[in-house]
Amino acid sequence: MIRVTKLHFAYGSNSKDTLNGLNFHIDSGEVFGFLGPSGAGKSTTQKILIGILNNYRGTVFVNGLDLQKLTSDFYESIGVAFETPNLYTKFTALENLDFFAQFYAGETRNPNELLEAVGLKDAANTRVSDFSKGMKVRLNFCRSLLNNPKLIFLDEPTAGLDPVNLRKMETLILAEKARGNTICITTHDMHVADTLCDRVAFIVDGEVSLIDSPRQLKLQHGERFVDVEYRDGDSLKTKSIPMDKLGSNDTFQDILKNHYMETIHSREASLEDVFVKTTGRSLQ
Amino acid sequence: MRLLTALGQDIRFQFRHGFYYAYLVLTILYILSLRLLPESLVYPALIIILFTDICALGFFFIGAIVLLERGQNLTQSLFVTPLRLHEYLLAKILSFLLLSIVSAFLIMLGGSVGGQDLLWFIFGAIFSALIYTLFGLVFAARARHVNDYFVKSLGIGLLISLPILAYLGLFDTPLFYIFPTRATLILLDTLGGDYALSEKLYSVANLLIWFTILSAWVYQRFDRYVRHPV
Repeated sequence: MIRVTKLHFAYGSNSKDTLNGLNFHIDSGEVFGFLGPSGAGKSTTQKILIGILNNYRGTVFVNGLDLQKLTSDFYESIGVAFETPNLYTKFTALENLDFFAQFYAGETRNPNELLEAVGLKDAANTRVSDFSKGMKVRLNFCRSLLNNPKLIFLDEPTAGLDPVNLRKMETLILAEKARGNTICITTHDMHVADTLCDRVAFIVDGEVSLIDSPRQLKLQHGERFVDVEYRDGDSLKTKSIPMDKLGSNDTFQDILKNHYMETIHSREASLEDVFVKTTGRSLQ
Repeated sequence: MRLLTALGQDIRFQFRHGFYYAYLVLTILYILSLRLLPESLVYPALIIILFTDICALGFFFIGAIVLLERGQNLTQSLFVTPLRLHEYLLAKILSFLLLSIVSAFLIMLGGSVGGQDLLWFIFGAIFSALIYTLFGLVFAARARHVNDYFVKSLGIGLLISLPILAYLGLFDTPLFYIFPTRATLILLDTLGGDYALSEKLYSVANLLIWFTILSAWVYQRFDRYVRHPV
C-alpha cells in the first residue's frame, strides 16, 4: 500500500534534514503507527505521504503511485484528519460534512450516520464554534471518512478526548480496520499505539530506529518472569518466579496451594519502556 | 461541480463573517455621500468611489477572507480533497467579483449616473475587480495574520493607487501608464468622459496583461505557500 525508500526532507532553507533517510512499508489492511516525541518527524512523514510536502528526496509510493506525480485525483481515495481540527466554525457540523462530501466523485458516506457513530447526532445542527475540543476532533474524524477512503491518515486522533470518547474513537478506528481499510496513525500516546496498531515505527530525530508489532516488542524486551502478590498470614508478600516450567515450580505451587494469591503479572515490557530503551528518549 | 461547490461555500462564508453587511453599509454610505454632494462634484466623486469600492475594498477584504480561512485551518483540509488549486482560487475571485460588481452597480444607480456606452465601463469594472483581488491574494498567500497582511499590502496598495493623482489633476507622469490603476480609471471614466479609442484599447490591453501576470503569480504563490507549505 505504501513503500518509502531513503526519504529525506528539510524545511525551507534549513541545511539540517528533518527526516534522515527513512525506509518503511505499510501493508494493505494494516494499522501502522508512527510513535515518537514532539518534533521527531512523525507529522512531517505523514504530510509527505498525503502529498502536502512535496520537495522531499527519496521515493514514496502510495497505492502504486509515485507521489512526485501526484494529482488531485489521489484524494478521491484517501482520508485525512489533521491534529488541529480544520472546520468551518460558523457552519454547523452537518453543513461542514455536506460541503466537503460534494468534492468527491465517488459515493460518499451518509453524514448523519457518521455523526451518530461518533456521538454527535444531537449536535448535527450546532455551529462548530460552539463545539468543545473533543467534539471538533470527532467531527474532524467524520470528515476524513466521508469519501469511504481505503487509506486513512490520522494525526494524533485521540488528542483532547476524554476517556469515554477516547474508547469510542479507538473502537471506530478498529471498525475501519475491520472494513479492510489501511490506517496510518501518528501519536505520542503509547496506549493508543499499543491498542490500535498492528505495527509501530519509532521515530526520533527524523530516523526510524525500529519497526515491529507492539506485542512482539513487549515480549522481546520483557523478562520471562511472573510477579505474584499473595497473603502470608497478615502480611502481603511478593515473589518473582521464572515463567518457564511455571507449573512445576515449587514456589509457585506452594503459593497456589497454601496462600491467598491477590495478583499475578507477566513481566513483559511496556511499549514506552521499549521506546526509551531503544531510542534513549522519552515520548513526551 | 467542485468549482460551484467551492463558490457557493465562499459566498456563504463571506455572508456569515459579515462581509455582505460591511459592503451593504459602505454602499449605503457611498450613495448617501453622492446624494449630499453638489451636482458638479457628483460625477468625479462617483468615479473615485467606484475606484475605491472595486479596487481598494477587494484588495483588503480578500486578504481578510484568506486569513480567516487560514485561522480555521481550512486550506489544509480543502487541499486533501480532490479540489484543484485553480478551482479554489477561482471560487475566491468570482465570489469577490460578484460582491464588488453588485455593490458598484448599486452605487452607480444610487448616484443616478448612467452612461451611453457601458461596455468599456463594464469591462473596466470587472477586470479591475479581478486584478485587485489577485493583488490581494499575492500578499495573502504568505501573510500569517491580518495585521501582517495589512502592513505588507498597504505600501503596494498606496503605490499602485498613485495614478489617482493624475485623475485629480495633481500630478502626472508617463510612468503611470504602466500602472493598472491608470487603465482602471480611464475605463471607469468612460461613463462620462470622452476618450479616444486608442486610450480605451490601451486600457483593455493593460488590464489583460496585468490579469495574466497576476493570475500566474497567485497560482505559483498559493501552490508554494498554501498548498505545499514548508
